Amino acid sequence: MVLLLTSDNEMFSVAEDVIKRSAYIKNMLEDVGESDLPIPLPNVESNVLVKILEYCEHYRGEPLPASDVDPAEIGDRSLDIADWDQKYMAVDQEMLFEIILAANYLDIKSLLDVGCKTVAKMMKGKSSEEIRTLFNIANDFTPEEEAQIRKENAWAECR
Amino acid sequence: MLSSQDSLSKSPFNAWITSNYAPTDWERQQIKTYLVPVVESSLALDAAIQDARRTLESLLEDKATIDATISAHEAILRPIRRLPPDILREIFAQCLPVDQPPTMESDKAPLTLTRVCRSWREIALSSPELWRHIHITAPQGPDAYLKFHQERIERWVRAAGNMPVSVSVWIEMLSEQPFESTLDVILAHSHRIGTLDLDVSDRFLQEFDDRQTAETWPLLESVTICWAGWTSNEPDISSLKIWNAPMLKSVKLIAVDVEVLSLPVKWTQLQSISLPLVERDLYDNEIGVAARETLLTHEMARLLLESAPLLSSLHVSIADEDRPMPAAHPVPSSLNAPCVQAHLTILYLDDVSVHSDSNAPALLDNLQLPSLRTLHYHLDSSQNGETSFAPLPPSNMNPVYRFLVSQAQPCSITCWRITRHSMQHSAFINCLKLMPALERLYVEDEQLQDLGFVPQVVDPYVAIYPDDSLLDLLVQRSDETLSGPPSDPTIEGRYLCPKLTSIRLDSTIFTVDAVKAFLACRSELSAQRDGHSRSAAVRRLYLGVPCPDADHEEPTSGGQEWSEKVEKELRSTFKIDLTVKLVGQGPPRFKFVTLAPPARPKISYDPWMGLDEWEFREDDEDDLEWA
Repeated sequence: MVLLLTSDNEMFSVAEDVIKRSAYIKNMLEDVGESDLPIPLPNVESNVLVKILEYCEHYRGEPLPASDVDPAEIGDRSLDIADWDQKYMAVDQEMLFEIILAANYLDIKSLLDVGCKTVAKMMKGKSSEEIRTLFNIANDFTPEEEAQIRKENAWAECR
Repeated sequence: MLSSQDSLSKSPFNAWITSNYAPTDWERQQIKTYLVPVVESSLALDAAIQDARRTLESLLEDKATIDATISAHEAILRPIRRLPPDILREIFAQCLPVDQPPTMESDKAPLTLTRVCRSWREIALSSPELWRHIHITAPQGPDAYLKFHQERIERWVRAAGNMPVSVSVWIEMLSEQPFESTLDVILAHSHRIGTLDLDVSDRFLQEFDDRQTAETWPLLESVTICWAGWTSNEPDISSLKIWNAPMLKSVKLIAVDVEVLSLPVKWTQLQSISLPLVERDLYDNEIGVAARETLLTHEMARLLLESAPLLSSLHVSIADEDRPMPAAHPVPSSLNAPCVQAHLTILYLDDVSVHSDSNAPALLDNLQLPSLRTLHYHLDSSQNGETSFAPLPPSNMNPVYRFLVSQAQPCSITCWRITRHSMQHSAFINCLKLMPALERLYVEDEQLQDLGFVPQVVDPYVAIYPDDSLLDLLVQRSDETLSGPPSDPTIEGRYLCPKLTSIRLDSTIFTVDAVKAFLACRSELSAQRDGHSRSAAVRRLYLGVPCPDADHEEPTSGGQEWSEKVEKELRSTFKIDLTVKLVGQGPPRFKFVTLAPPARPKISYDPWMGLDEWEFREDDEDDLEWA
């Protein structure tokens, strides 16, 4: 078992073959060897780690999801995200981005990939204004910059 | 505080309130006197309510201000702001269209990403990979607009930094619209173009040919040309100077009227050649002429293979037309001579006709492909009468089967895609037995694509026929199903296609129980694996199954509920990515009735052999014509 200490001081005891999906932890275990000391995860809170472990547990012992599958083989779906992954990612935005950040920190490539795809799927087909609203992003362009962007893109406004 | 009921009960006039009693003048005066203090109380309450409302509004205003402050500060804390540029770049890349190059529309990625906020704009514009591909349609309008369009392309290409860019151009086939500005940009950046897709008018190609030189394409690796050579003033495609590009490795021609073998490419460095059947409607052009396919004979295809020894991917469409060999290759290839193509890993074969003489050599005969990993085979039955009428070759004469049997090294195919009407069911099974490394199987139903439903014609002699016996075969040990030498003692040697992880069968008649048994067995097989075996459980399964109600071209709502229930159950039980799609069956057309198990002693193949084993039971004349 591997001990993990989250940023909010929660201790988790996790099976080695589960958490080894994280390349960061795997490398650390290989470098340090067996130890009773917990591995600190200063960038991951306990509620996020619970979610990350759910993913690792689901794919325990399984090869990583194939990313080179011909979309035609999968069926008529818009994005190649496995059903279970889609359900797993059905969380609020806050948690979705926390998962992505944690996957990045822990170096879990397949999870990071699914997270990025999920966000991209949310953005697809949306205008810049709709994307701002969706993610609560402030429009920090100056009026001059706005005018320049309009000029670059819209023929009607540049005449 | 009194309720209205209490208040009324205390009134001296309470008894009259619930009756229709008419008070006298004196009594009316009494009532008015009684109401004076009550009305005063009411007015006082009105004033108090006004005060309370003003206070409430003020409090609500304060609350909204505070909430806005909280929300604004929470926005600062949102994790999206903490995403490092690398992750944002990855997300941006995922926003690009998958099946086509990005267009220059400002409300679509990547342009829309530059309009969200400053930091996103900075990251997007400093991510060359977002701008590597560009799709250009020739603009129409005044000169100022053409200039504006040209500047946009320039900006786009600049954002791609130093990376080679992929350019696709679309101009209507017979269009008279000006394209000079588009051509100017392409030629100005030709030294940076790595991939060039031209779906353009013959006029454009002619101008393109006149203005460019081979030296201007130092990075060009891939060229695609679609639908060229249709007009009377058609340019000579083979004279285009891009074929001399020093790095050219990939050529794709779609409905281009040219002798492929006469192209002046450096054949010895080509790694990919694609000559697919026309993907669009045959008459999808303004001149109403059916597309001239870029078809090869078996012999020409073999010659092409021999000319390109480094080829790793080949997509050819084969027809047995009597076409002369191109003058550039006076020595014809011999299909009877052995040919080893060591690098070919992907082979897409569109066979347009069944050869009437099975002994005639075909492309796959005497061909050794030791590195082949992906095989697509499609016998096209819509292109000419010969194929659509001729029965399929029997199992042992099937070209794919003959090819697999003749391989000197164990077959390493991991991905097999085949259209359902391309071979008899027994040939399909025999091929599966020769593919121990198969991981992904896709049996496409072209009739489902063409008609939207599957006609009720199921016969193992005319198509692959996925019924429960196929699943049974996949869960039986090979020593129970195969004759011959004792099977491999390892787990993966004992089962048919033990490495199958992804299966898509567009139309099946599987029962749910058989699917469950199959998945359970494969899961168990995976669980039993040891360090030496790579047997795997099925991870992706897509099954087209018939509507429970017969004779429906569209699935019924009851059928949908049934399929959703099955999907849910199997997904949760086997943890797989599963889709059960209901397939409409359409009206019955005709039915083959197999009279007796066919005995096929003859080796040579007669295309009409076997018809006497079937009996047509036509429903009406039209149905027979359809057949």
